[in-house]
Amino acid sequence: MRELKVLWKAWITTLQTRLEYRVDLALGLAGALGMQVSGLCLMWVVLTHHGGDLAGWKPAEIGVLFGLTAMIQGCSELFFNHVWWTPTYIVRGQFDRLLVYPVRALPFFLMTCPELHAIGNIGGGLAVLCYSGHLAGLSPWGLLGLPLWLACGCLVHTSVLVLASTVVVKVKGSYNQLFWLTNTLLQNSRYPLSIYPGAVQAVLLVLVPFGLACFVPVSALTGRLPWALALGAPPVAAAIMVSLAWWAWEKAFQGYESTGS
Amino acid sequence: MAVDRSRAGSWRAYGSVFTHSFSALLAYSASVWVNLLAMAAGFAFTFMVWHYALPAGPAQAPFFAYLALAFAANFSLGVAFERYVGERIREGLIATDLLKPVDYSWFFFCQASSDMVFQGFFGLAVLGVSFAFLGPALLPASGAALGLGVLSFALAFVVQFHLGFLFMQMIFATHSNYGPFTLRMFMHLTFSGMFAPIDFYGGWFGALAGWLPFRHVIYTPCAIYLGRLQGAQVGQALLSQLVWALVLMAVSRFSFDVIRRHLTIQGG
Repeated sequence: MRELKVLWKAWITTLQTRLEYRVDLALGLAGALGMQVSGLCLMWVVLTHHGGDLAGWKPAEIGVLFGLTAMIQGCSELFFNHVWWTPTYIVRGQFDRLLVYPVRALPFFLMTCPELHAIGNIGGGLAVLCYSGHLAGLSPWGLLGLPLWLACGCLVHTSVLVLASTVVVKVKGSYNQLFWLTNTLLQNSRYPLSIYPGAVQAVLLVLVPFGLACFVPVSALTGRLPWALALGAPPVAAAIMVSLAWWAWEKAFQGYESTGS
Repeated sequence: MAVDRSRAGSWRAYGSVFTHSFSALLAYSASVWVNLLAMAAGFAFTFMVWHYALPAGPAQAPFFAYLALAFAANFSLGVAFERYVGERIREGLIATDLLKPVDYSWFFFCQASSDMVFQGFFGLAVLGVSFAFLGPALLPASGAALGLGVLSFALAFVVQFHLGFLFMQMIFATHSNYGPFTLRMFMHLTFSGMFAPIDFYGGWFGALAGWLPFRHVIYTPCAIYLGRLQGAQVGQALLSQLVWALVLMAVSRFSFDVIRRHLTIQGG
């Protein structure tokens, strides 16, 4: 409980430091919302060229999927964004000080750099999700599962980013694209998984289970899968991925040698 | 901050920046390979989405040739100095950069040129692999298309560099690199034609992209090379690209002279 309080205080404090850069916040929000408009435009072009639907999914149903993935990315950026700094900190030896703090290093590290353009992704994603859900005729009661899916999706996304960061701890260098690849995998989960080849579906359901956090819940919302799967699979995926990421993090830092001066 | 520009025309200094930057890149070639593979894996999703969405037929091969070329061009022409400059500003180290007796934008231009040449080799490797799958669809439409396409790629680099340099200057005002970077990435990813040729979008979106310079980074050179633009369209596109390159160069240099005077050095 004491550690949770420390984490909360650390998060709030760093959030306040981010609020210092107000113009940057405005630009970041514009960029985040713009990215979503961009994704929607591409989706619109793809749908236009495929006769209006994808693998039996109507545009409004795909919009729900789109909104959920955007919100998951936003939550991850708001609460656990610091992981993106791993390559820089490793090269400069800036992890030394973090590792001697009297708290568990991973959660403290993850929570101490919230990114405020996340609000654009969360707000924009929510707007797309609600509007698309309304057009698709989804029951508002179904959205009661949203907090669970967001929390699980956010944990799965962050865990994959942590796994990417453990590669950087072991093999020093500027491997930022591993992090971008994680985001790309999440962002492409906004299309129905059934349009991808079987092997890719397996990757997105098992190895990097964004599909369990996004596709499965929305499939249940749209009546394609049973609700038990939508309520059970995301927490299981999150629990497994968090355990794996934490274990990999601890392993990666065993025998860690500082760099820089 | 007043800057001594008396040695700003020292081409030996800029040549040295280029060669030293290139040598530094050679030391990190492993990370470039990893980054390339990660980017390619990400971009494969764009291929898969279009492979599903596009009806099978003769239009598929030219379309995928465009996507492969767009990916190679995007990788080769990638510039991202927002994070570097953002940190230098926050830590006050930008002062030492600005005190160097060279022109700041040329300094960065030489550094970015070395990145482009280095990444270009990897871009060619991508095209080689793509050729194995796509075959003749990836060849230039004609000898003239090859020549004009290469010219257009050179202009694309100038446009891309000065766009990046302009957005980077925002950091002098915001003191944080996230906002400018996110904004530039949004505009680049949306309007450059990276995920589909601009002519595929049509309507208001195509018209809007036509008014912005971002299409000249990816779409224009790729479309000229592959023959998506033909006849008078090629001349118009190249002229527009040249005008944008000159305008962006003038604006970014002028605005940098202005914004530099308002810089507050952090740290101490």
